[in-house]
Amino acid sequence: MSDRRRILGPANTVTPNIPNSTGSRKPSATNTQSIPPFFLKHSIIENANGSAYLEIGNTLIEVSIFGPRPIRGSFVDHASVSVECKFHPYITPQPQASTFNSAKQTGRTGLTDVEHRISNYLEGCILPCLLLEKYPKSSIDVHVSIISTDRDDLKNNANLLWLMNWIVCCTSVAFVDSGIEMRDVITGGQVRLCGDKVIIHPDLEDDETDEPSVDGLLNFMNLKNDEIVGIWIEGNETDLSTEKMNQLVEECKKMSKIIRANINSYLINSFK
Amino acid sequence: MSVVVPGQYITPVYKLDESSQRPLKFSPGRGTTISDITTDTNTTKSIPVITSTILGTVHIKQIDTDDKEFTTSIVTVVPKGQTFIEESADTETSINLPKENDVVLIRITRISPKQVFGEIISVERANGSGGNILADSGVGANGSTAHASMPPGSATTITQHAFNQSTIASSSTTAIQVPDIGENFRGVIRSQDIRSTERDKVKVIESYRPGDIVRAVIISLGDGSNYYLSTARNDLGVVFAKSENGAGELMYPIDWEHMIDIKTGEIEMRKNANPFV
Repeated sequence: MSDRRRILGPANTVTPNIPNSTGSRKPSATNTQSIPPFFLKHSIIENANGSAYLEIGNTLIEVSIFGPRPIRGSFVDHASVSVECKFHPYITPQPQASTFNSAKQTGRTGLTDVEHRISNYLEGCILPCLLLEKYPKSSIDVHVSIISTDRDDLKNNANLLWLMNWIVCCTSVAFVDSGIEMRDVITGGQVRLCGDKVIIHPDLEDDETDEPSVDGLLNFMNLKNDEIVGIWIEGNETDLSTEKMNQLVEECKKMSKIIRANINSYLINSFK
Repeated sequence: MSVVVPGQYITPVYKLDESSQRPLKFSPGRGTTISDITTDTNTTKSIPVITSTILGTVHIKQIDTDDKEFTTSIVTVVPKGQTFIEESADTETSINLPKENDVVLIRITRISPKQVFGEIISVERANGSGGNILADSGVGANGSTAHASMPPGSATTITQHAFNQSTIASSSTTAIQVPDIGENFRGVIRSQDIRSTERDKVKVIESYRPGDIVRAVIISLGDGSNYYLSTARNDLGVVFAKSENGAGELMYPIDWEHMIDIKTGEIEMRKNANPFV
């Protein structure tokens, strides 16, 4: 007599042969000079005007753009932009939380200090790029969800900058998807200068050296005279010389152009 | 028909046609803008270049001008899903925001003795390039999850992913906003703009009722909340209306001022768009 309280499967079942999981995907020890491969897709959210999803290593970012939509109140002759970046709540601690986040949550917006910093930086990057005067009486809302970060190196100084760079790139693609007019696609580069070495996306082993280092993130409009739209520098080096700074700009520009070329070819291929 | 991405150079504004040695001039149409591009060697000199602002295909069309010196062409970029229209007006952006002198369709939402309020549904343009202001009227609310989408946000309101429950912020000072649905660009028709004749004798209630679909022209971008519209033209006015404030059947115009519900025979007053076309 079979068990009547449960709905049982048919008697002659075959268990499918499921291969064992190969464990977590740890980014392989990267060549210090190369950008790891990344995955990009746009138009992922049906009811947003533009959206994009980006995946690099364990960093997963989703951006949705709403608007231009009407605003209430006084007349404005160009669109206003609001940006909100949020970590999913299970990302604890947030990158650099010990440095930036105060004990109390910032009141009105419900964003933590790190999220505020990210939102502010992103807003600074996209404002010079958008043709806001084409959209009077409107607002454009950008919502960034950070689904996952490279948790292995949460303490890593460069991790926040690395994340920030990909947020900016992903947002650019979402803007292209939305059809909102923009002067150029923003991309960026993020490198660490450590002695004579230039390291892209440093891992934990790079952090263990005692040598002073400087982490830089620069975002560019590469086709518009390589104009810099965002700059963020961290590090434990006390003295940042002009030569170092020049090197930083050049290395970031190089990386930015590689990412830009990838995004360009992705966009053109997706158009067909 | 080459595909361009935002920021990509299309052509310099001034160029010399190599075969005829005639100077060519290009002006930016929809989907393009002018950027000043410097050369690598000399950063003080820059040349104006027409660049794309959206992802799309390039179309260059020569136009006739009085200019003897230059041959002028207009460069446009057409996004995916739209077709290039020869006679298109070239100041339009790729997103259809209403502008002055556009003919629009509005739905009347509220009337008062002095004016009529409505929301703008779509823009009508002679060449057929108009359409809904956005597929979702800019609310981010097309599809079945409309009620769960984002309330319109600005510096003063808090907007969040309501479709992603885990990310809703609920700090003590933040009340989660009930999303505003059906929010569109709003318009107002003042009573003196309803008809062109006897405009001081116009009664709003004898012209429009809530729910009517009205063809109107935009006379001003207006203030922060409303576009200013006018129907003081023969071809403007009610195009669709239902009797008994929307409770009845669709009505048909019988003259310039009256509509009839053929099921009940009820006659109501409206300011009709030209019924004789």
